Amino acid sequence: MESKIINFHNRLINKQITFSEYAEFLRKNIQAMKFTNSFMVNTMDQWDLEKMQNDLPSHTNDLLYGVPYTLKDNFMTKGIVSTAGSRLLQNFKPPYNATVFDLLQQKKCLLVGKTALDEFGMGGTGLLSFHSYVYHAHNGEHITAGSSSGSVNAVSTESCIFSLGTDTGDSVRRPSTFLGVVGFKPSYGLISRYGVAPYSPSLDHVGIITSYVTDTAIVFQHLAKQDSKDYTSIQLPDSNFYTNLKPIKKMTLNVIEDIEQYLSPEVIDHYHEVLDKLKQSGIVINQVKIDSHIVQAIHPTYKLLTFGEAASCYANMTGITFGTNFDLDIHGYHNIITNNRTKGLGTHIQRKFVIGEYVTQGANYEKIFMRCKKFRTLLIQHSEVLFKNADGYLIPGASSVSPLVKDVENDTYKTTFADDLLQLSNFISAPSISLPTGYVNDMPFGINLNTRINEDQKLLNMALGIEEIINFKKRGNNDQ
Amino acid sequence: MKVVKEEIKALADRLCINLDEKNLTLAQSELQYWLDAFSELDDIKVDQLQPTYFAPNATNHILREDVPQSANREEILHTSQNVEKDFIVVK
Repeated sequence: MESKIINFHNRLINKQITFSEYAEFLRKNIQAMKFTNSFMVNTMDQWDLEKMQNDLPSHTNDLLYGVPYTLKDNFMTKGIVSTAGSRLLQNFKPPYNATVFDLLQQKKCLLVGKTALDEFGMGGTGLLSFHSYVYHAHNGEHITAGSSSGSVNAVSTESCIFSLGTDTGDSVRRPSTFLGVVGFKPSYGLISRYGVAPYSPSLDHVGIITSYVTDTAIVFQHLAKQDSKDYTSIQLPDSNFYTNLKPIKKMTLNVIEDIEQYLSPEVIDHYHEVLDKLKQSGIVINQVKIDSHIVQAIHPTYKLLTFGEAASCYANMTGITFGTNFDLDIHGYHNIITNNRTKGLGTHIQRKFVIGEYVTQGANYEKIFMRCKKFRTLLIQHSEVLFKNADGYLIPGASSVSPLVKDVENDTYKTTFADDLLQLSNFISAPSISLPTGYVNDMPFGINLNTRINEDQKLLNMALGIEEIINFKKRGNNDQ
Repeated sequence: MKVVKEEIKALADRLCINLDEKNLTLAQSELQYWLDAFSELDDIKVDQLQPTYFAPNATNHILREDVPQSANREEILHTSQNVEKDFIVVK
């Protein structure tokens, strides 16, 4: 059972390392990945390392004490600029904290910084933040995917031990596949979203990015608490996800028949090698057939639903109640708002809001938006086939390795149905985890594992079992 | 369902956004793309299905046993089920 958190903790209490030494290690790693533009703000200068070191003996049982982490910049942090990747919020210092930030503060986890994202989490490339592109930490010619781009880079380069991101369609899990880290999205409602800038509230989840499944379980156990500030928040009868963590290696997994037609040639062989390895370890793999016409609905339903919800959520981004007022010389309520929204919102966001407005206005509300909600119900029902007679289902972490920046810029790279499948777990609100499995063309790659809603413990136990079987070793691991 | 540029312009105005000519054209083609993709699903019957608002068990979340007794459960349930509609009405 490998764990960076436990390793860090043991080295601290055994006096093999000090907070100051570890801070220096982090600074070097952050400097080395500076070209990726992953950090919006670095908060390490606010650390009181002497006090942390002195307080250490009284926290010996607390695994999260002093663990360095990063937050995607759409988590509200009181007094610290929280941009959500938007120019409109470039100077916004919230007067309150996201619940998860408060929870991590209580454990005296150390916030390394806030990480870059596609504006409001609405993008899958890492190229749609207002401040700059975010480049792949291991090969700057490639994208990280998104929207939790900076967070996956930070974990992958060991610029922090874990990071929190958000996942509306795949924003934690797909970039995690591309960076060779573990990306987890729990069941809907298990981690509070209070104080998290929304994208699409019916699909938004807080996700956890780590290097190992055990670390995910440690962080998740602490964050999985019911929050009265979030009406969708729930707590399972047993939320001791780390305490109850034990590897499961005997399981039956469903995989989708003929999914290879949606994969790039280079990842097909790797995917088959992973399946063979799992079979050799005693895992039963069953092929299941899905109705290709019904699942074709995933992508348009996802886009039209999320754009509709996002356009509604951000009606308050006026530069008056929220955001930057760019030009004090402009007068008149309507003129001020129009100027601020036009200057403050990225053009891709503006276009998405227009689409969202279209599908929710007048008769289109019933004809398109509500029909999308009904398609979501249909997809939930149809997803049963993926769980039939199995403990869960497994899909490739993406349809290809991370594409080149220039191919995304030129619009020559296209996602496929294999990528859309990640969005299914958001529709059904079920837990989902992406695990690194190796390298394809020298780029990290992985798989994605899913169980039914609220079977988060089972998912983590299965993921730990698979992690041990695959035994992925990251290249150039420079852990302290 | 065909979208014309004037319609996009009117929507942008309503959203207090000044889209330039290039982005008006892009928005039009992007919206048209998604509408066409959605219309390819016209033969799938979903009219009789209930829409999913939040999580499939969101209603159960709201009616959970530990909601404070002082809270008006009906009101909370109503708010939860209509929150998206309310957002849109506010707009």
